[in-house]
Amino acid sequence: MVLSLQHGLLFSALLFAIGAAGVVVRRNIVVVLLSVEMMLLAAGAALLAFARWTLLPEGQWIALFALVVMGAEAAVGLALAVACFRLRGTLLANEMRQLRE
Amino acid sequence: MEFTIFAIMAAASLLCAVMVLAGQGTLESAAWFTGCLVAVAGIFALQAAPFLAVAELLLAAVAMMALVLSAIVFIRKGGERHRRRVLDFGRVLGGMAAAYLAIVLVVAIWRPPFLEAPGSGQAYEAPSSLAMVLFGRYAAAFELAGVLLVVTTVAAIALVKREEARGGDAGEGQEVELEPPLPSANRELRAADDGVEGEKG
Repeated sequence: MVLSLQHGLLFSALLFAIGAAGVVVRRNIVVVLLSVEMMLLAAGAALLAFARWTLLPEGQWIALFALVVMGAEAAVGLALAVACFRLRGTLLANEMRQLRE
Repeated sequence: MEFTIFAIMAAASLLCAVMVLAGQGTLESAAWFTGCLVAVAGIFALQAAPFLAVAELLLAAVAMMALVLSAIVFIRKGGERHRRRVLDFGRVLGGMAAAYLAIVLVVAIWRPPFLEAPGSGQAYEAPSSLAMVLFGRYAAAFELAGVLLVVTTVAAIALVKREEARGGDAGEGQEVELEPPLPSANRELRAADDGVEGEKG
């Protein structure tokens, strides 16, 4: 079997779906952040698959920018998680209920 | 051959991704996510993007560092108590929605006959093609990405900085004081000014 566009896209789709499941299912906000990173990674993989099959290096540039955004968002997200943990004493999303009722 | 390596890398990456979901606590999930990053770096290399693969490996290394730091911050203070698993309706529904998304995407993508790669991609795979794009046409966007990273670093440090009024933990280490506490500083400055004025006249 030859590696083709659909295989790369299939991998990207499955990774994105797993990341989306992680965002919804997990309560730990750090793990939710990691799942969002996983979705960004999947988008980058799809971009690279398309760029490989159209031979356009702009796809690589967009994927690199997606990696940059991933790192930046991870930094700010982790800083927010640390701040939240210091204030609330917990990392679980369903225990941070000060805004309820 | 290429397909075999791709299949192995993809399987490893998806397995690590599923373990991120199934891992208990922050540390285990972050460790599995680092493994996922390394496997996806292999996928990037197979998609004829070697520079991005190396950049991805660097990110994986940074992720491991963030993992260690998060372990220090969260677990050292005893905040990582393992709660029992809660299976409520919202989470089950969310999981089912994600599974439905996976099914829809797979059905949309999977239509044979599969396209073959056009050309050998040698010119595409060389880093010079990406360099022409990065530093030539989209140089301004590249610089803006750098500005974004600097702003993010400053923001992350500002978010983590402790307020001095909170008290917090005494043994946590030195906090960065960006501005002096107001009343005492003013008192000292006023005393210095009075001294100077007293000397003058």
